[in-house]
Amino acid sequence: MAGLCAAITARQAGATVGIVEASPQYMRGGNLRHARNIRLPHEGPTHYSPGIYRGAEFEQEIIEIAEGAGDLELIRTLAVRAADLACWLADQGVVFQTDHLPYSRRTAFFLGGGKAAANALYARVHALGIDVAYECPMTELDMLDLPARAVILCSGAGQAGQGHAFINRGTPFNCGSLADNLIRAGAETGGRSDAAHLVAIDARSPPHDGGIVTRIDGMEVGMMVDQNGQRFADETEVTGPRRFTRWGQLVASLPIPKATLVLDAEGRIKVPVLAFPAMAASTLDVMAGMIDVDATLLRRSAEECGRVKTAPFFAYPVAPGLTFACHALRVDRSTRVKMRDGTVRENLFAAGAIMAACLLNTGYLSGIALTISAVFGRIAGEAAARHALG
Amino acid sequence: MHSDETLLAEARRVLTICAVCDYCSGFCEVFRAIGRRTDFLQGDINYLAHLCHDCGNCLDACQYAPPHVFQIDPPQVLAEVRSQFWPPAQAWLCLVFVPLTPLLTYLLVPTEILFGHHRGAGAFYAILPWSVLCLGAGFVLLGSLASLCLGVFRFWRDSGGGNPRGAILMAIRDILTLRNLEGGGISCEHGWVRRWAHQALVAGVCFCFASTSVATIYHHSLAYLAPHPYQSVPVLLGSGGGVLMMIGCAGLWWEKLRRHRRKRISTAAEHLLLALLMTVSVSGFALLIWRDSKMMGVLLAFHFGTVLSLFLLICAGKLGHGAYRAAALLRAAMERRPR
Repeated sequence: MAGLCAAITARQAGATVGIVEASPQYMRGGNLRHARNIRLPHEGPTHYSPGIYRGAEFEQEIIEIAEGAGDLELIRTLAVRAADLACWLADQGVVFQTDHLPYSRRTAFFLGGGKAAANALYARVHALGIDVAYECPMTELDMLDLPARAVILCSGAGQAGQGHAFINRGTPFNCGSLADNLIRAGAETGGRSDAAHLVAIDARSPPHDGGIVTRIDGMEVGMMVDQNGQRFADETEVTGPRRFTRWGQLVASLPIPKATLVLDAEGRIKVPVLAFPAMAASTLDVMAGMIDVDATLLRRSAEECGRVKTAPFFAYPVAPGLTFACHALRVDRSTRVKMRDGTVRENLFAAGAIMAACLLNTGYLSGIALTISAVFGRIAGEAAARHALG
Repeated sequence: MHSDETLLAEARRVLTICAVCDYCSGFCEVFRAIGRRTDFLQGDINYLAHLCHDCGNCLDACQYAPPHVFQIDPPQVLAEVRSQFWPPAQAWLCLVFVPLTPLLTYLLVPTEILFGHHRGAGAFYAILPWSVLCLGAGFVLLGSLASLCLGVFRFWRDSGGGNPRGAILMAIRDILTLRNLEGGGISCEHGWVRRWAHQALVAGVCFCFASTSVATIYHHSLAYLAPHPYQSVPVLLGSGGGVLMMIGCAGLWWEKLRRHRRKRISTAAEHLLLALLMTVSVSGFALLIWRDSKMMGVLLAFHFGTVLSLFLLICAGKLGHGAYRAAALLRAAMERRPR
């Protein structure tokens, strides 16, 4: 998202632009492909968002979610520049969905989701005559000898990298080696390298790129047990949108970060549709064998929670799934990369998830990553074009 | 209609992932109908398959489209389910009348009559008696329609049954405008061509049917016998219909060949139907042009044969898709009607 917005903006400012994309064509666009909605402040109802969501409220929510650790100058810039983002995206050909949606005053939905938006932005990129080189992963960059007059890095926060043990829900090309390379060369870091945005997903998900459908839901109508068959949290405590993250963190903090959602016949009916098939068993003892836990402990857990009573029983294996890493490069208001020695690189810019943790730290709000990517992508495109055209 | 079990399981897997994802809800009624379901029984899968207009927007927008490991290609799997209703082998068999009718005519009608000059009212009946034409066409058409009705009845029952009263006007609008090919905001690939070409083809077939109906009324009430003069209502309706059918076939063919998504296993039945519709129109015009020549007998027999085969395709080929599509659109209208 950031890279596409940057390329379009820089080209429109008169610069000659090329995109170097690590992925093959069908996986282009980073994690935009897996996105659904983008967080957009608006002073009044618009055709893509009902109600009012003022810039000030938007700004305040980000400050709160970052627990005071966000870069206030960047957050302020984001709130100001997000105001005309929807119009700009629509001008580039991105289509917003207006019908058949849940009410959302804070976010606007892409028609067909993020891949449709990526297709639209790529069509714009091609119409503007921007060259795209697919399947060209860059793992190193010599800051003193850049391949162009200005370079914008939009290579993500590195969630697919070796350092993360969990299943990666997003693109496998977001491996973080470019950012690591720059950090070794003296770039200043933001966010936290030991934190990540996790949700509970089906343990049978592919190692990368499983996206939205791998999420596990419906814990509040069943029970969650660990590798021993024991419950480790109150399933009904949180039922709002935060439940996904809560379970991701809870499962990740288990000694062995794996769990099982067990439902009975009644719970199965109440649970939303899940992508993978459930494992089914006629008794809890059979179920214990299937999920490899102690039968006595499993039966005791079922009695204790009181929601798993009626046969047949169903189970889903649960693991933490990684949505975003919270590691970042520090940038200034024009997205120029900051160095640990206090200088900024005049010709090196970073936008998107690679710098998002500077604003969010370890927090997250739905659709905010796309807003950060698009806004700072545009800022980077403008600044890089200004620098390149001198 | 019993679908292949593996195909059914694959369709269920794909539709379940679509139901969880729900990113495509803005595109068409298929995804709204998927969103209203938690379980996908065979009747539901058949319903969704016939509801799909095969525009391809969802595939273009899909984060899980092949080569992703989830291999999600809804238009493909739904087309495969649909094609179970008109297996290609069966459709090929329907073409039997195209060679058979001229052959039988050649064998049964004496050569001097078949290749003789016949002009004016009743000329056609010198070759093929009215009773043969009427009984042959009537028998095949009514048999085919009865079989189609049975199929659509089962389809309706298995997809949930119910009384569609109150949703009929909404469904008629969707059938006439092919609204589901509008793409919901992102235009479907060649959606405009497909909508106009398809409706031209349907209008053409209706015109030809009207032509035959008028000719039947002339025959019985007014004793005007075919062939009719060039300026007569049956000839004008038939020619107009023929032209529309040719335009429609050409448009749909152009779209199929230009289509970005070429990988399709289910297109055999579609090509066969288009080819037959084109042959019906061309042979109709050939008969009109050369009806005063010695070739009239053979041309008449050939045209009659193509029409008989076309009637068979109503129950055994893709021509019946219209009835299933209409029923599916009616169910979709029923489901979204405010209660």
